[in-house]
Amino acid sequence: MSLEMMEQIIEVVFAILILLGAVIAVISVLGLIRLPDVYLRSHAATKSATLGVLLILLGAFFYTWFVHDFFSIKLLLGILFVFITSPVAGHLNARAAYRSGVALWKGSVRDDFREAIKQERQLEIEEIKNRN
Amino acid sequence: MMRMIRKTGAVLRLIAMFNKELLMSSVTVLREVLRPRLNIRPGIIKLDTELRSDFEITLLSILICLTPGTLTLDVSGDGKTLYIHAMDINDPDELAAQIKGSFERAIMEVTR
Amino acid sequence: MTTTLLWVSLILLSLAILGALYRLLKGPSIADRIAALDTIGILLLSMIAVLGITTGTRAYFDIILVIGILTFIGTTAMARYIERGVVLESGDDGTNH
Repeated sequence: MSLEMMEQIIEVVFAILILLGAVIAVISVLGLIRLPDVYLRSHAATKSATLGVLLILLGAFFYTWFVHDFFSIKLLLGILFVFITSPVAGHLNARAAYRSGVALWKGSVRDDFREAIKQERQLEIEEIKNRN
Repeated sequence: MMRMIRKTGAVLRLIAMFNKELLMSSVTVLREVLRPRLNIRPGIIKLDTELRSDFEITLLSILICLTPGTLTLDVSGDGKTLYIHAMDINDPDELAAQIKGSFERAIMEVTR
Repeated sequence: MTTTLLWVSLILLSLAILGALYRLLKGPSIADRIAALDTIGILLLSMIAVLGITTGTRAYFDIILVIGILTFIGTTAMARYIERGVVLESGDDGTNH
């Protein structure tokens, strides 16, 4: 097998990795469109998008490494950054949604958080009363 | 020296386990999304964690957030309870035990 | 072959951004819109990575970091805004709960 053919195959493998990431991104956006409430949507959005972006950026990283012969530290930093920030963003958004009173989907089977929030509100109200 | 080797092993194990969880649960979520009729039972469960320091709890909640199908909604003020929104709950206790058994144990091995 | 695959992924990513745009415009609650905006940012970031390797330049890779940071800060600020109505708060005891 010639060297050129090897290079071709490597190129195609990384392109397929990128394509796979794009397909996963499309499916996760489909979830963003069709799932019934904010929390489920943010499952689809922040999580599967993470896997899609991971595949795409890794594919791009290896592609530039092997084909363009350039070790791009920026892409690696990008992967790391997306991985650190995306769960934090998802968590903040879901928490803000719950605290601003977005209801769970009617098919939800369990809600342990409602009690905790109620207690917290109660404490806050008492604290304000005591202060006055 | 031995301690460092053990720590490195624990970190590697945590990363490997996390990657496995990420892949497996991604596939689960993608399958649920693609199914023509939705057949999921979402809900919020409580997880009493044994982890204490801020770093450990942050790590645990980030790992839970990163695996599709589970999402940390909030951490109680004293840091003892995590509220997790899960996409498909068969048995709440089993899910909590599973998270405790996998992530929590691996994090403990890294930090202690 | 490779170029075709990369262009197909670019088209798929644009379709995904269109889908997220639908959720951004339609979303019943503000949190939905924020989630959609976050997704758009992340998809845009990966689209730029693919665009960078199709055009064979690495000048675009800086933009990936910038968009990543801007998306995160934007999401955080908006989430805090809908949670409490303020972005930066200064409680007298310094806590944010």
